[in-house]
Amino acid sequence: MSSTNYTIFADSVDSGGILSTGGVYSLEDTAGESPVGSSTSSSYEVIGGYQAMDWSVLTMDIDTNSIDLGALSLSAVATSPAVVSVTADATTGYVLSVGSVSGSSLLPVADGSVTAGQEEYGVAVSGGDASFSDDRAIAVGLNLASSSTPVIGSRTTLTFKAARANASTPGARSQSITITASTNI
Amino acid sequence: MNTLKYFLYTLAILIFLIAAKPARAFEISPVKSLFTVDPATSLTVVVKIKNTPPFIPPLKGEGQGAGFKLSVFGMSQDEKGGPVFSRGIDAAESWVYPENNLVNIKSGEIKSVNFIIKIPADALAGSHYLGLAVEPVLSGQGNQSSLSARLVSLLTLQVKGMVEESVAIEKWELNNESPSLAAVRSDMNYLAKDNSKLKFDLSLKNSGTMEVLLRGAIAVRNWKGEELFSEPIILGNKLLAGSRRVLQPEIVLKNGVNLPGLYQAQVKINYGRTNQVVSAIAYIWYFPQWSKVASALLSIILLAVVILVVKHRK
Repeated sequence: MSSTNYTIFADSVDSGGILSTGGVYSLEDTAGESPVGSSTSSSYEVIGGYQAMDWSVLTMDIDTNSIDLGALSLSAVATSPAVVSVTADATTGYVLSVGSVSGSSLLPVADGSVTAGQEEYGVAVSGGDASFSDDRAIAVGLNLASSSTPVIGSRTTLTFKAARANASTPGARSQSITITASTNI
Repeated sequence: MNTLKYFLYTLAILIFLIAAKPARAFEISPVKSLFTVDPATSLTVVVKIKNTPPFIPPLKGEGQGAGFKLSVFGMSQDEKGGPVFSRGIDAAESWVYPENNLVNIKSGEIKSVNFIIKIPADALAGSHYLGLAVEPVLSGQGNQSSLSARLVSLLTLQVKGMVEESVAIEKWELNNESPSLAAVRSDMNYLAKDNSKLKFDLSLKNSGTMEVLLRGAIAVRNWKGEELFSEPIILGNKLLAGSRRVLQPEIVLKNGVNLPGLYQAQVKINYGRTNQVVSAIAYIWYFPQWSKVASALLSIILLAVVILVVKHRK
């Protein structure tokens, strides 16, 4: 059941329900509902029922999992890009954020710009759904991009940036970063 | 020697994220689910995963398929309304677990995976927010660095029982207050600029046990308390239990806000299925540009009069 503004994926009034699976098929049915948890207006979402599921699809593609910033110099900021593509057909769109960070790094950028000659490390984002326009420290929960409407193949470029200072401690740094995508709440 | 030292130094400072092969695409469905559950019950959530073109590379040959790791996170909401996934947010994280921690999916194949939900008998009534996470296991992962992708399906568990809807306004004040006068009038905000647009700081906290939808409006009143105009404000998506929303709503002054003086800006928030209302008032001293010019002219005239009087007396 749907209209211009909303879709109800499963509405029922019944008194029995079970999950059935067989081969590549699965069937979810529900039991004993009355109208539960439903709200309607021009700006509100409807999720009603004992089991309410939004069977929209969320797709994510990162064009590389190799970001190499190379040997840093005092005179330039090292950069390396990764392009994240997201398709989200849910009416609430999507959110792209940093899900986890581990490993070692240089000092995180704090002044909004990774600058040559200063020890700083961060990420910039670009694209139609980018969440910020400066350089940010890479931390769990950092919102990278989002949309409140469905998107198809929305591309966000993450540009990792690093610079070193004279006083920087020599040595290799490496990180494992997970980029998380989900639908909006 | 110095050249060698410089060479070693520049080589030594490296930031790199390495893995052997590029990450590729995959998809999940559903993207969100809501279950109303009784304590001491169990059920199963199905999540479909597709290894979609360009395919996630297989770990041990195409026959085996690509590996996908399944896990469960707690979910909270950041101040702008976006989801934040982490462990240790909600006790409900231990109620849900994947039937298998790892699943292999061949290129182009769709697989349904089960997440088992077991609600304990002493589960607290209200909403619990979780993320069902799917993450490809890439070649070269382990101790090596990597940039990887994770898709999360949102899961809300509404445990039956007595629940409460409660939203509090933690902060409501004018954004651009005058620091010099703020100290004198600590209980009031002061608008020093001649600006027809007012910007406020608003902070809301959901201290109830379930998520609420929000509607809001700002009403501007004169010193007598008469409403001059009211404008709706956008408060964003639903506010999850335990979460805070920070906003900076703006209104344009109109309908009778032209005389200098003290005004009230009242924010009213309607929330939840119980349609409760919470409100707060910010006081605004308003001095339009013309009043400042008039005050300056009046001061000059008064000064001139005083000088003339003093001279005349001598």
